[in-house]
Amino acid sequence: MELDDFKQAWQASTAAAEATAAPLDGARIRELLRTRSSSALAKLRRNLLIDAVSSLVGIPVLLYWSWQADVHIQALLGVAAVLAGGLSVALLYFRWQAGISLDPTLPLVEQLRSTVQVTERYLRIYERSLAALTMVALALGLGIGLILGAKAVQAVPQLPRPGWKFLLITSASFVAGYFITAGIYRITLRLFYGRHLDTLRACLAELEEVPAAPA
Amino acid sequence: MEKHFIDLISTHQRLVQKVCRLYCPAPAEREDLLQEILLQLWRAFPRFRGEARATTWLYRVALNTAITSFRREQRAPTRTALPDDAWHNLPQPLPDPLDEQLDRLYAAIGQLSDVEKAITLLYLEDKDSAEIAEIVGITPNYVRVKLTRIRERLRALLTPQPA
Repeated sequence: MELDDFKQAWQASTAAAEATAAPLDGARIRELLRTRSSSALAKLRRNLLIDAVSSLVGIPVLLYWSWQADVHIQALLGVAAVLAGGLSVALLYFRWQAGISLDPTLPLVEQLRSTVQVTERYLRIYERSLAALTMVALALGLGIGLILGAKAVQAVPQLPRPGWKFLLITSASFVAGYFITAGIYRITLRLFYGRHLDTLRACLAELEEVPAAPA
Repeated sequence: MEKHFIDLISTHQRLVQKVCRLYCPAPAEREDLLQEILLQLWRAFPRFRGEARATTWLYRVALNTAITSFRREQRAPTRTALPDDAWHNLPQPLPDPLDEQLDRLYAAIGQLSDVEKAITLLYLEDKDSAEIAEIVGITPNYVRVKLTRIRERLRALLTPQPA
């Protein structure tokens, strides 16, 4: 049976099937609208919001700690508070930008294009910001640990100035650590969103394919 | 505005349900997709000025949501063991409301790609190439090319294979 022959059968059968489905009346529509979105991008946006709020909440904690801390540690905590603020603003900005760049009323191909772009950008930002955050936290922990350790043996004034070899090795370790951490986050994010993104890319490629000229 | 929205959805509920049925054969997922489509329609509704045909607007949002936003979960089967006497208490199977022909057609369309499913649905719903092109965002000529390929694929899928 050809596709064209199915038209009538389709319309008659689907009309019968949908007639038996629960009707979408006002009460049911209102009930369904009460839930929150479960789309992949909505989940990603929610995660970004949680991270941004967590960073914002961390700022007063860091400031309170720095108010009570030693002058050496104060500087490090100040840097951490500024970084946390910057990260929150960046995450909130990207979250807002994704909200306005996606419009479900656009034709499918345009919607697919923007969804792929936004999702790819989101995953990149998410992966990089998480990796940077991990390394910054490690660096701060290391710095505070060194100062507290030196202070415990009352050696702060005698702390040797770090030589270029120390700075070089530490910087190289942090850069390598950043890439390793980013790689781990990339694999993790791919586990959650990779299949969905691959499906979107395949649909987009199918629609962007140039039709062959008739023979 | 809410009343206007509810009226619109109630009038075109079959359209939304067809999209859900096509993209989610499992009833539990279908309900999730229906919910997601309604959320997206409700969010986009303030910008709906009636310039486009209501069905074109509804198809765009419903198909965009089914294809781009909705992530079908790969649910692992539950492996909880049933008690020994559970089999005796099982209810009798309910008769399938869909006829065999529709089942076969749904099964065949289910094997198409997400984009092909969208074009097939619109074609079966009597949309012409120009309107399909408007909803999907490709040229009417490309819609016709896609429809030819879909016909060939469906023909192959629906032709009984020799034993």
